[in-house]
Amino acid sequence: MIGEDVGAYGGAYAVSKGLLEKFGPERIRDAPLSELAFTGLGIGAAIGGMKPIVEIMTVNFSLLAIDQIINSAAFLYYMSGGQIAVPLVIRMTTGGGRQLAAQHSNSLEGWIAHVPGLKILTPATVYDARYMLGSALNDPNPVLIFEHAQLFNSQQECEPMSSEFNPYQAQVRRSGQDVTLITYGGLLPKCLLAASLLANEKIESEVLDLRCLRPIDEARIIASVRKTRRAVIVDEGWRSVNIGAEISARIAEIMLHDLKAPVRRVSRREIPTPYAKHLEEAVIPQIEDIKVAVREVMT
Amino acid sequence: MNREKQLLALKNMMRIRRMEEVCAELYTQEKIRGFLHLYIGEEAVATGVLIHIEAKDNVIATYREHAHALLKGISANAIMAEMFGKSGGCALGRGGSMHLYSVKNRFYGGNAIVGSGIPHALGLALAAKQLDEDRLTVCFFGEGAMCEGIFWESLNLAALWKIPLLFCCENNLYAMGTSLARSQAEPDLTKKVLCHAVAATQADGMDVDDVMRRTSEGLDYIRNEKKPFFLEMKTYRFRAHSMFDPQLYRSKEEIENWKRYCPIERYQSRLLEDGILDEVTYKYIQAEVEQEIDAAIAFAESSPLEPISDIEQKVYAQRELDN
Amino acid sequence: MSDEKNYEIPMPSLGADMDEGKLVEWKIKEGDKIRRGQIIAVVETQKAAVEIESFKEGKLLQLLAKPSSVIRVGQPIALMSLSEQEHPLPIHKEPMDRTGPEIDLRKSIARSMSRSKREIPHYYLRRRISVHKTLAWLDKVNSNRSAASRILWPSVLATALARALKEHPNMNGVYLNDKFITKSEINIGMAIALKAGGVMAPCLLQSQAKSLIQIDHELKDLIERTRQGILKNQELTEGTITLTNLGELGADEVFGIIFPPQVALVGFGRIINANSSQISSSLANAFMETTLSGDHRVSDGISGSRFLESLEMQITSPEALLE
Repeated sequence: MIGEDVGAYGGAYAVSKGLLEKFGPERIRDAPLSELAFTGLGIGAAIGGMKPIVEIMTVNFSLLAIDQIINSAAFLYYMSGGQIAVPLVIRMTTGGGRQLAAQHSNSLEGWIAHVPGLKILTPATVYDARYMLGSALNDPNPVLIFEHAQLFNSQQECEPMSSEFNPYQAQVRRSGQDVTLITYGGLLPKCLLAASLLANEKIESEVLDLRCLRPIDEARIIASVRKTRRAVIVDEGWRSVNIGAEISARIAEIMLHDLKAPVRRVSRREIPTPYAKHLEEAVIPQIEDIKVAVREVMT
Repeated sequence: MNREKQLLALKNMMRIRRMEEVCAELYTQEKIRGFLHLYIGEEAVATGVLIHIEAKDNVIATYREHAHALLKGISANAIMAEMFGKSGGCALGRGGSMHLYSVKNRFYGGNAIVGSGIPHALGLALAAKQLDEDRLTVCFFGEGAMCEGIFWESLNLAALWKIPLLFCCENNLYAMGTSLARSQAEPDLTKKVLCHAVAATQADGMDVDDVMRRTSEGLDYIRNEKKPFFLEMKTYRFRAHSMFDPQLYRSKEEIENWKRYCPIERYQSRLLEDGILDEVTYKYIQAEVEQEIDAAIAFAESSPLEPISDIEQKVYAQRELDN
Repeated sequence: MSDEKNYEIPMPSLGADMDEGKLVEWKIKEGDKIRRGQIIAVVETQKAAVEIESFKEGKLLQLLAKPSSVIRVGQPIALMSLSEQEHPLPIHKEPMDRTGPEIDLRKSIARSMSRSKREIPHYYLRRRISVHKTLAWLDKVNSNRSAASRILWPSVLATALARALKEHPNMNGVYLNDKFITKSEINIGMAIALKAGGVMAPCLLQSQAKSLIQIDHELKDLIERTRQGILKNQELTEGTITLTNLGELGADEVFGIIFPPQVALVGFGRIINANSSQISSSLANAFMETTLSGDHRVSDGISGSRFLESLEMQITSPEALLE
């Protein structure tokens, strides 16, 4: 594992706490501030037969490494005619809501999911956070795992991994027949809360956790929306050109005439994220925004 | 330095030269498309370094990498077919001139983004070290790459983590159209590297004997000290940066001056004088080289195109790794 | 339309974005002799004015484009005659030097090879033959012979080839006037490099009826006379197949170009010990890559493979070659 402060510091989000003591400095490497090079090194080590985990402290810093992620990790297998597989795992923290201002609060996973050749995972539950990593390590392709900063404190009884565990499937977290709330990662808890509040208004929402943004589990999205015939996509990216736009387009392409209402998106307000608490709250999707969107599609 | 090695060095330089000249012509006939970066004039560098490199060792190079690919063992057939965009190419025709790959020959590109292969080479070298494999890794890059942050980040990692990598800088004095003097405030490359705690030395990149010697020293250092080593090869490309380049940035006189140092002609003379080479053997080598490259062209012409129905294959590797 | 004697110089493609070029200035005039690499004109494109070179040698016959005209890439801009001769290969008694008829010889060969590439649809097959038994046998046989009379490895290959051809008439003959004629005599062209450059393939006549010792004797004589420039006309014109053993100088495998009007060429690469990269003839696991270049009008992959199988059988049962 390579990353900044993953060793002696114990990990910026305490994810790797104790690992240095257990595995030693050859396995757990504190990297100097050089995202581009150590991501590239991770690629080389993966090609050379190791199973590296590169931790980029946050998705905001991944921009320093984006050339290696896209032009090398994503493309090498195809460009080489199917010779050079890159079994690399990159973990990044993502998301806003902690008053860290514009450069530390982005949710870029939807933007990176634009690139073919990568696999993008967005665990929203403790169970997924636990077992997606193992799955990613077994994948011969580059897998990026986006861990939402606000989920690090969540706690849950974790069952043993199911033999059918498949991270590349969306999962229904709450069943309902009136509307499908499509979401992923850090906004799942808000969607579940919004759903239980909406139940008081006699609106039963189905909450679908995407779990992966590339590939998108189109089949399960369509299955759910065929049932409810209404879709609201809740996405922490900025409104224009986000993953919600992609899913919205697909729903329209496949089943436009079966919808009872146009697809609605709840996204981040399209401005750099401000520091002041009340301002930031007005930018990031909130429970109230979700409820408003659902009510709109219900009328 | 033995006779067999020296004859092989001459032959390899001639193979490179012949292939590159033929590529130039084929490009004007539109058989090769896209970007084409030729190595003519720099043959001694790839030859002198790679003569020490075995099949089990790793090599990463730049977009000017036909020579390195050929000497690392990719057949001229597969290289030519790749440039023709045919499925017999070493990357199924999906990469072209700048993206030659062969896992079988441990040649990992072919990098179009300047400097991007350097950390890959670091990772390969680190993996070999940690997996306890008896394997060298060599990375080629131009002096222009030494302006990119990625170079210095990588150099730092190499020194800090004692990664046994041979850094081979092909200093041909021009990053596309910008000379070294105009782009690096400190043009003494070796001096800068030494300041970053990595051992470094220079070689005359127009003299294959000197390149062979210095590379041998560098590899010995790496084997004994288990630390990285930097080799600056002072060389010059006789042709333009790529096929279409009016070369407004350098004078014809300068090019003609450097052509007097043609590595192939000089080496041929030296070997003839030393009695290592005779006329018959030279012509024999020449005939062999021509036949190899002519056959490569024929192979490329007759190689089929990858069917469009396969276009979305091999974006993702299917095989699951062991746990 | 180009033919064997004349060549239409096209407007070259000089870059990925170039569709057409404006001819700014001619640097040659009608009647001029043109060298390979010589600058012939200045062409202007969107980016800048670039000098363009000739890739062929010859004489400029006609300028087809006027200065300031815009011409699409690939369209002819001038007509030149290629400096090649029509008459057959000259025979010399004096030692060859670097000027005079050598140029003709070289061009004839080059022309012949271009024609071969253009007219003969080649296919290629490869077979790896285990040779350690044969090498051991040869060592044993030669241990009883004086240095001068030791049997050469190429003699073994030629004899084995002659025997194999007896069962594969579609590999031995000539293709003339749109028709293949198989021959009962097996005249094996042995590719020999010339001092002046290029390869000649004078043949061992009537090898179908000869033993290994006889063929060895004749091959030595042939090589000697080729170097002296004393060859019989028959030896130059009556070849029915060619063998090229360029493995001696290090080629792992050779995919050669057929010498017209023949219909096949067999290539033997160097002997490789599978356990190491060094050339070794006396260790187990030695193998040699054998390649067949075939004329697809006469044979195909299946018959070619069968032929290679027969060849392997002959090579690996060397005792029979003595008879």
